[in-house]
Amino acid sequence: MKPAPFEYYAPKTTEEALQNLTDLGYSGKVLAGGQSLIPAMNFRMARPSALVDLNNVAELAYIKLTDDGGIAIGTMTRDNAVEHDPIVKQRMPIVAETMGYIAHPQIRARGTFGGAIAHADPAAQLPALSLALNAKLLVKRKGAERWVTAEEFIVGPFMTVLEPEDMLAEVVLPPLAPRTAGSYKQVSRQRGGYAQAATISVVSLDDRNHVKDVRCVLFSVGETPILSKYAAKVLVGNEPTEAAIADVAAYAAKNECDPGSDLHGTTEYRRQLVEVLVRRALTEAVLRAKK
Amino acid sequence: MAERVFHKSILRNEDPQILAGKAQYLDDIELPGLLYAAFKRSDYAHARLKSIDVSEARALPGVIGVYTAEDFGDLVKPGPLQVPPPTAIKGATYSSRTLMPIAKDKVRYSGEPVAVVIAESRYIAEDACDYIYPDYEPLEAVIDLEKALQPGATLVHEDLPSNEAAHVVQERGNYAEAAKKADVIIKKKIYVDRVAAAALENRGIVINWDEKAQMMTIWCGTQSPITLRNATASRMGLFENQVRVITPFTGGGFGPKINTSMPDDVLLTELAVRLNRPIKWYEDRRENFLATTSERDQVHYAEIALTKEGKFLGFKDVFYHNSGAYDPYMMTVPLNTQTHTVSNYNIPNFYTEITMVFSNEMVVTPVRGAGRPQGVFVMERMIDAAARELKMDVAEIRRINLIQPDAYPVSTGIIGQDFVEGVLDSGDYPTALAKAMSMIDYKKFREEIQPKARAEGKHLGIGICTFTEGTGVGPYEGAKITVGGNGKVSVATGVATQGQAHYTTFAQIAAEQLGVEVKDVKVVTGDTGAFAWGAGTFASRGATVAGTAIHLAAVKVKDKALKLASKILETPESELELVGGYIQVADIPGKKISLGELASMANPMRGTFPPGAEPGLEAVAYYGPPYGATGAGCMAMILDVDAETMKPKIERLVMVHDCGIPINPMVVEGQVHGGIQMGIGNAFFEKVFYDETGQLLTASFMDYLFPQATDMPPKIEMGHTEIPSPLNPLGIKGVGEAGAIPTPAVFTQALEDALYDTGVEIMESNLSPSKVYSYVMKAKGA
Amino acid sequence: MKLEGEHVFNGPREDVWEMFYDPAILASAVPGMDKLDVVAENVYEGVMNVRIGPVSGKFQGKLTLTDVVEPENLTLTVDGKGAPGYGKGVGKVAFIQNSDGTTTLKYDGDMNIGGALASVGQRMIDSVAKSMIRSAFETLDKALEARLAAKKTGTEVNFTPPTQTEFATGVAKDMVGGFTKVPELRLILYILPVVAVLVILALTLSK
Repeated sequence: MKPAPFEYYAPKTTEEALQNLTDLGYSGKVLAGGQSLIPAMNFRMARPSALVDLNNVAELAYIKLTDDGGIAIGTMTRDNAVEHDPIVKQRMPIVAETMGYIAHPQIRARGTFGGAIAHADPAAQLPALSLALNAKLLVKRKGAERWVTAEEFIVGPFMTVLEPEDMLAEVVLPPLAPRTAGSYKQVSRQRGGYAQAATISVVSLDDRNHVKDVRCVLFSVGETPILSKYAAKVLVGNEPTEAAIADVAAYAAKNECDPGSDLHGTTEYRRQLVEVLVRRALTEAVLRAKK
Repeated sequence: MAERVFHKSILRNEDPQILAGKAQYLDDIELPGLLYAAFKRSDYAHARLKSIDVSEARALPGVIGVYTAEDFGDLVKPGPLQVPPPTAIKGATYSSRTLMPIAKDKVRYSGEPVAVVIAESRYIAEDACDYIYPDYEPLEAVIDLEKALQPGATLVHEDLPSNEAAHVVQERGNYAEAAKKADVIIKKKIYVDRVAAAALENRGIVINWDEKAQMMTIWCGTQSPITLRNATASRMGLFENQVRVITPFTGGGFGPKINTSMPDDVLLTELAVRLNRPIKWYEDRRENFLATTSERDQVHYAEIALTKEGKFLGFKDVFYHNSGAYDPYMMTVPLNTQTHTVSNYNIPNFYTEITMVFSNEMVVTPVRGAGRPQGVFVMERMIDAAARELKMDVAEIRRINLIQPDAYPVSTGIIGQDFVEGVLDSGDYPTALAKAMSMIDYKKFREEIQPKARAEGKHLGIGICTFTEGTGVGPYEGAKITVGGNGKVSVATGVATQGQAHYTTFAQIAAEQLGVEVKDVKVVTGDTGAFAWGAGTFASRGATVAGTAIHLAAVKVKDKALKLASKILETPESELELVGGYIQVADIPGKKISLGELASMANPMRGTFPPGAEPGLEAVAYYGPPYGATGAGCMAMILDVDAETMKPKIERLVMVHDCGIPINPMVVEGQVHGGIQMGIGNAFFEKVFYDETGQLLTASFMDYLFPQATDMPPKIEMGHTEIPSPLNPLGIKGVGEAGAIPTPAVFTQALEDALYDTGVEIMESNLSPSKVYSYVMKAKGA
Repeated sequence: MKLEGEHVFNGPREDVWEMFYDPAILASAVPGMDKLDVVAENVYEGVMNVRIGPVSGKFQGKLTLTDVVEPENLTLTVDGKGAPGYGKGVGKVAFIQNSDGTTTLKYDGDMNIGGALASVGQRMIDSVAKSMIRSAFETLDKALEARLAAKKTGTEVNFTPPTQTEFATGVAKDMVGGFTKVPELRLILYILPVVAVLVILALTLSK
């Protein structure tokens, strides 16, 4: 399990890194936390000819408040830094809750917030989280930058809009409206393992306890994380009753996801999980939002 | 009187060294000029190897050589059998097809080596493998055991008439007659699937050939250093003592490391001599799953005949055992299955038939449990099916059929892996069952806890099963004990250690006799330079067989010491005692002599020496049992199942266990815990998965799931019963595999009990929540 | 693994058939294909550098067309071998002319993956394969559209096949519906035969 030969670049600044990426084009690959890329390289499933290692670019790791009370996270911020950050915990508890499910603490000590999103593994938590929180992603290249929404960013399994000369530089999580809460639910074979089905559901309530906004994201049951349109259709403007939630859960399981079959679970089983988890997550999110 | 150290939970001798990072493992070994090896392995499970182009690989900088079957000439022939064939069993038929060191003309399992690369680093060696181009003509893969036996099936070994590797029938009493008298007969098909040992440390080897000294040194985490030495010496035309095998600290064995004459030790010893440079090889995790042996994989057609009161009249088990592509380990595993199917219960009529089958999968050799778990799984599942049919309590139906404590020794009439009739030496199964039931509050659970839970819509289930564990089999082991001039004691034995605490338990046995501190006994295992007679570490026999040899040698040394001390101290032996490293006169503490001094005096530099005497305080002893000692136990478990996701949680786990007299109860508990973890894995997480073309789909821990700490119950509640074995002076029985044996049966029973409202019946192990869901849906008629 | 499904093309059967039963187009249209040689009638060989997300590998590919009944059906055998493993697929492909002028393509086959790809790639490959099938058909749709348009106007079907990575990202973007830059224009014009799709499937699918 040794990787195939590769060239190695270790820039110290964002500018240097972007220059590397431009020069290398299709042969270059960004190395962030390496928790997904390095195993793939060790298996020789991934064979990048050159790695651009961002671990020495200190300016890419930060957590700060934005002007409107949102949170901006530099792409190279370690997962555990985000998970344990007091500002994040206070303003967006769903983030810390979600991140506790990412593999194991040792992995989270190296894995990065941006790296996971750029890797776009259909079973990963952070791409789904960015969709659930309607994140804005800053994509930089030499001499230019652009903002992309989470919905636009991921286009397929392990596929994003990033071109070879691009780098994901920052993730901005918009501020949550008052009376907003989320819930993370997943079923995996083991703690820290890949989810067989999972959901991140974020619900905002108005003063009558009717749903003002709902973002119910399903993941690990399709090629990309899936934002349930039916949940919004049924729940926005209405009371989140047990029956309504059950309806959303059943529909999402039947029509809004496309779980595959593998050694660990059949498609039928995973649809069953979607139904159960969406139901449980929405119920819990509503309960939390009411507090 | 010396303080007793036997039967005490003493902290381990080896731990300070291991924890401080000072223990030497295989990969710590560095030698000047060391080269690294990598194997190019077949992607296909079954194919003709038409040709192989290694020219590009040879040209890669840093590559010393790339070798195929062509380059090895006569060396490419089937290796020796690891275990003798079952000639002792009447009517047994078998075909031995042992492991080839490298594929020539044909590959028979995915992962079979087709070339070996020697390079300056492992990185370069793996790069070179990418530039090796074998030309395969794929053949149909033989996977399904029953289909493999049908006429016209593709043959794994074309020189044989069929894919049948062996056939053995054993019977005691007469099942057919018993069935006629039965009120109830239940027939089921039961399936146990493959698991890997997945030791923390993969297999590896370092070989150094010293041309001037004409000595080969091999470092290897092997379970059978002596067999490795002898096979190597024989193959290379050397004296046995020109080859020294040293086992460094080893990160777990669990069975597969017992194999010798594997591609690595055959080819790399040859290349080390040819190139006259030391070679290191380690498999990576994927290779371990692919090309190191694994086990289980049997299909059983079982039948139980009972009276309507639940008394077992007879049991019939016709089963197919997957040997994989070759059968170097012959029938050990399925014979263990045969002997452990009916072991706890009084079943006068038992018919068991094995058909061992070749397939295009990796070879099957023992993995912790070694065939016993399958036998127990089949029996316990059949009992549960009977209980369901007769509407009897699962614990009660077992209780009325257990062998009673006054029955021993019990001749089973079934020949086991040591080729003698299995005899149960001692035991008390009813007490173990009663104790387990009491510890888990069985009555309260059935009468109060479970009904209450069910009323609340919870799915709590309980499982309880009994099992035996055949341990301590022959042929023999030996030990040499020497008192050093430093007054400390050195123990050398032929078995190897993979983490079982031999450095402590063996020291305890010696210290008990010689009155020294346990930490002053230095134990050397698995170094053929220190001791070179014995069979190896397998079948939970280290403590029992080597331990007994150590005890016998220690007694001899004690006798020598007393004799000499008696002369020197001018006191009769009966008044002397060994305490704290001294031999002293019982009531006159000042009158003593240290063992070290005594040892020096026993080896005179000049003068005369009494005829028939032996120098020093040293003795060698051997021990071989007439048959293996049988441990036993009872396991109970309470599961809480989420009936929507089918995810179970182990609420309680009770294990009552008998391993005779434990040398170190703490070590015994550790062994049982470890076995339980593997048993839980076998029940609900692990499965070596081959697809219909023989491709291994679980070659990493992403897909091969090994129980984590978070999958274990919050506590393992252990109860002990100590029924000494009459077979050895210390009364000990082995315990290494105990935890792994009953767990899948208990788990499955508890699962069915938890999901009582679905009526589900599960006759296979290696489950998963999705699998259970499929069963439940089927039971519901979905 | 069983591989079956169907796709409706917006065009007559002859054009659909023509679209991918053309070896010259095959060669340039398969992503990452260095070269494709015709080694015998209906037998093609070539080298593919596959790159999907982080997974990449070089494969020697062999495509064989048998039981050809023009323009109704054929059997396609695809054999890909490389360091990461191998893939072998055999599929029956049927072209059914529908009364409304569209064509239904039905495929029914078996796929076997082996080697490292099968043993450690399970998790990654499933979702990637699905995505590839879907995007391949979408691309084929566009290619057919372009071909029919070119036929109508009488102009040459002018295309430059995209590079393999351009294909991957381009197709991906295409799926989202946001054209951004130059490669996409070229994308509309190239032709990706179902044959090529099955090649990709052969090399990236698992159980």
